[in-house]
Amino acid sequence: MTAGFGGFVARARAAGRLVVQPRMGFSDTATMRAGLLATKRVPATTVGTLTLDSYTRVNDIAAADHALAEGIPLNGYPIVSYGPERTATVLDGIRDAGFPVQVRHGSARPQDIVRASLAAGLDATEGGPVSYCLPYSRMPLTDAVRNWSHTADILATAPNAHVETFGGCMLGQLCPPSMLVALSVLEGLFFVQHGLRSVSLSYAQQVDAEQDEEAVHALRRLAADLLPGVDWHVVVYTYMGLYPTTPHGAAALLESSARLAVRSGAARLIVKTAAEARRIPTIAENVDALTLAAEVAAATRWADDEPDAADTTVHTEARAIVTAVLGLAHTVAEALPAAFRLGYLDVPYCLHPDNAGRATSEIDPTGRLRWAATGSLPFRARPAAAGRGPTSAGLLAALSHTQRRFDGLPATAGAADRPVLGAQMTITTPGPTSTYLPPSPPEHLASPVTRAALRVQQQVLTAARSFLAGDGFIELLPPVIGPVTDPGVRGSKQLDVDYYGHRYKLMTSGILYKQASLLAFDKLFFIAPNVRAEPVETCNTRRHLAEFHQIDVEISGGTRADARRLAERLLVHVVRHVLRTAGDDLAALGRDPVVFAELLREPFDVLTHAEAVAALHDLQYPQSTDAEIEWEGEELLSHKARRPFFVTDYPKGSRGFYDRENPESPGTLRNFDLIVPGGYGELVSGSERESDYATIVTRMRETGENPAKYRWYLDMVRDGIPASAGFGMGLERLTRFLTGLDSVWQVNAYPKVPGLVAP
Amino acid sequence: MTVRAEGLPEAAIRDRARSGAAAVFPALAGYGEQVYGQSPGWSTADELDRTRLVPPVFVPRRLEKLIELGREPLYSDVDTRTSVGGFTATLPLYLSAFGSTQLGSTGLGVAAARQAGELGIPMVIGENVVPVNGYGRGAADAGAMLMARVRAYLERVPDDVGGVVVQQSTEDADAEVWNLVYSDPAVAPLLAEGRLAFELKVGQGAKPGLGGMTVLGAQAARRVGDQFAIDAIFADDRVLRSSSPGTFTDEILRQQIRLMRNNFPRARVWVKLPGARDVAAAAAVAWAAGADAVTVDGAEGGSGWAPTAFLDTVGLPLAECLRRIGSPGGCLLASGRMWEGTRAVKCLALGARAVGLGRAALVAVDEDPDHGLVRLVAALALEMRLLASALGKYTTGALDAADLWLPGTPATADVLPALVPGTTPGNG
Repeated sequence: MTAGFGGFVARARAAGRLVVQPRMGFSDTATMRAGLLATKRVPATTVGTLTLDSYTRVNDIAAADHALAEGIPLNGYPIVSYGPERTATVLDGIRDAGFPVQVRHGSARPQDIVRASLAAGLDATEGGPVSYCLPYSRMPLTDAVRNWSHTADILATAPNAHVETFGGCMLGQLCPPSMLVALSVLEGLFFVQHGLRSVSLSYAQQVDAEQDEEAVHALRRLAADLLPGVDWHVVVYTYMGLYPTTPHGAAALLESSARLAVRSGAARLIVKTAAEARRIPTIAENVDALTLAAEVAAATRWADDEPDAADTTVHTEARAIVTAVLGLAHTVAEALPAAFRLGYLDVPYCLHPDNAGRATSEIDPTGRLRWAATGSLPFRARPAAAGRGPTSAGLLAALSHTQRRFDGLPATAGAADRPVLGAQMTITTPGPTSTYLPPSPPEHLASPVTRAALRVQQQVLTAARSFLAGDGFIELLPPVIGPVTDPGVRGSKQLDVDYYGHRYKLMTSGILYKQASLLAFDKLFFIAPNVRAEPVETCNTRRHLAEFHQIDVEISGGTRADARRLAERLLVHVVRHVLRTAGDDLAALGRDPVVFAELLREPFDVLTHAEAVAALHDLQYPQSTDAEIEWEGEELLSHKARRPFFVTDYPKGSRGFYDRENPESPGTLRNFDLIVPGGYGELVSGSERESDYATIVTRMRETGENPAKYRWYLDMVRDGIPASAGFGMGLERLTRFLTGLDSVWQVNAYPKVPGLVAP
Repeated sequence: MTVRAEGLPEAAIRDRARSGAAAVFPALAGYGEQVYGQSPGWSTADELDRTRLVPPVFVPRRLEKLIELGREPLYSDVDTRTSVGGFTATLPLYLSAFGSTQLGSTGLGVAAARQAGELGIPMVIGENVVPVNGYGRGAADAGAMLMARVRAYLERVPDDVGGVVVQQSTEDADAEVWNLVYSDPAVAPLLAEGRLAFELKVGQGAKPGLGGMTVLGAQAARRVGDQFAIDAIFADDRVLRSSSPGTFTDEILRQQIRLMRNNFPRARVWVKLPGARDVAAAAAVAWAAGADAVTVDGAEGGSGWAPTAFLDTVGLPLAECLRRIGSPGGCLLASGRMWEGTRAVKCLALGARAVGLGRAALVAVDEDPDHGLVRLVAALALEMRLLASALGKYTTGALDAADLWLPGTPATADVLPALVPGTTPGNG
């Protein structure tokens, strides 16, 4: 029998024991060691896990080093930063023949990780050229294949190396089982073709127990045919999609995955703790989950040693896919990119540019996951579902199908006695499509995503208020209507109300009233609702709402630098506070706190509008030199950035009349925007304000405004208002950035997406 | 005994004595049913009309066309398709705005829109359609409204030509016409296809220096009293409603255009100028700021309502406007008493890319709401082809000042610099 990780699992399987394994990773070596020890001591057959941190995963070792030096906790074990000696110390006395340890990472470029692992004697890992590229990386698939080929070659130099394919997971949910099985087999074959002799093939639990069993049987049949003479086993992952929120629901789902593994003849189960998706689970929570899974497995009857030979739909489709892909080239490495190009492999709802995206899936009325559209998949579509494929509401319902099903189960006595397994969610939000729009209000409000986002928003408000109050700012309650409002809002329309026969406006921003309020207070802010009927074209920018809120701040006598500095400090304070108080919700939403590490290092970078335009031209983006940065351009810059940055000196003509023109540089304004990284775009817009009467009247004309409309404001300005500077920080945009959600509507309880009629 | 005053326009004096300030305007009886322009005595045979089109014997461009076709070219080979203010038009024509009197706002506006769509020429919708007549989406109040015109136009317009231009002037900023249109889902297809433009109305040829003018009933006047100047100069209870002409400096014009480009990045920008003495400077500013078209409305231009003095004697005639602009720095459009082919061809020869049909279009659809404009344009287009072909030109863009002669001036070569400074053979 094989030695190493594969041999250990094979021996357990032969003895009729399911191997259970956690996903566990801590940056602190003592905690990591304690976790491994606790896993080893669980009264079950266990293997240990070192899950790596996100910086190491993306090969940003410098950032991991920096975080460690600053004492910022990472979300996993930084194996490259620590080096082999330190890792050997962590493992010393724990890892042995009866307790192998696997390294889990998620990298599309894992060469350094694998070298560091092997140096520490860790020869078991996991991944795959497709499964660690498409869902997590924007790296071209051909590059990932090259990296993984290289990685497999490195691993194959270790005599007992073992690799687990991640191909049976793909996005966690809504990928039909036949595709998961096919990818898992293909990735397994990929490793074997690179000389590895011990592999495991993964399959992630989906939505229907019977279908899942068929899938694992199909996986075993294909493996038996295609991997002769190789040591292989099947590893099942407990459901990776939207997780039940009730303790009994979460426990029931974990139990069902343990039963699936045993009944279908898998050898190993990777469990999910109840808390994992909301935050890094405690060691005790991992132990609880492992214990429960092992108990259920022990009470379940094993499948026959031979896989079920029935020609199920899953098997037929999976075999058709595998056969078609293998027919494309001599090696899997060559065949995979071609297969994605041709659409033989096509993962529903995966947004990677190399994924064809023509195939879609749905949950059928019997509760099985099936193809709604097969695109160019190499088998004939079954008599398809009615309609043209899933609607956005249907998709959202499918995403929460398992969660609702398990939460709706009656709590059994057994489950209630068990250790409390809290809610767990890994939320995979579909990407930027114009069809991905809010569901019905009850569904939206009841969604755990909405609720988590709103809890984060509450912390944002708490933090902003305490920070500003502590800095001497007074919060005023904002007006909602007035004879005029801020005209400096590109393309959007103001909404009218009939006010005793006069046409009044709903506030598009509080700027005019902020300037007026300087007559009462030197430092003030609103947290104000604003309404802008944005052009319909903004409905899928993911950053526009027709009704939204701003943290709107004004400083009497302030300069642009004052306003910028305050915006910076406010943002950093809010982020720190949210990380401290809403970590569970961020984790539940799948937001990795590591993305904020750069932000917390002030001050932010500054570039002028002219420099931003030049940067866009370098990216081949046709940005006009004398106009507002277009939304797409801004998003592009935001994607390129690693930390927030200011853009200053916008050209006159791009902003409202109240942004002060630079006397030293006519034609440019003393204003700024704050752009956050990751494609989230503009978060703050601010400026030094114009307070001179004649200049304001002239600027009004330049911005096409009729000064007569602004009588109350101009009368006040003529009598004199203080010079000032200020900014507005978009509350929903800030919350979206913090939660990492796909669209800004997801963080608003009653979202009004431009162009959509909604309550 | 009646006083006689030979040598003075006695009738006009008596009219003012009877009517007071109302006599500054044409007879109120015609308001809303008539469109106005220069009185016949002033307007017949303006410089454009007196200018002759002068075909040559030697026609090198015809030789080019002959080689291209492999046969002798005919007038039907003249290609009239051209780019007008960022749109593609089947002819070097567009439908001018009708303004805000009842005339432009009745069913005639919709009929004209439908036919302009059928013709595949751009259509401008006037500045005050929204504040005066409202902006409706329901079928019930369709007809006079902006969206009804847009819909009528879209009903007929072929896929790849034409475009809709929505005008706004200072006072309409209160009604936010452009924001309204830009955020309306009904215009999303136009935006997506790049077939929407906004026109900044700086002034009107028939009354340079004045804003929009309409005559309103007392009730309507009360409704808009806080937005406009209201003057009760007429004998009945109707009142004169005047807009301000708006304040412009070169910087204000430049920034307003930039603002339009910023706020409405997917709409084209047009700018309408009257026959002002600095028309060349204003056009240059507009083009430099990124305007897709500058429309020059000469003093011959029509109006729904204007003081007689302005109609007859204020502002530069179109020929002089085109002369002052010289070689245009962008797409130049011209309007002013257009209705047939010769004036149109002369304007094209003086640098305009296309000409606008205003009053003539209104009369044509009044004559036949279903086909009047289409037939008027058919006649104009045939004349245009015949004239261009006679001049040895097979695209309308090839016409130039050499094709023109103003009687009383010695010879083409000498006339050219005076007629069109900056245009010499070789750089046109």
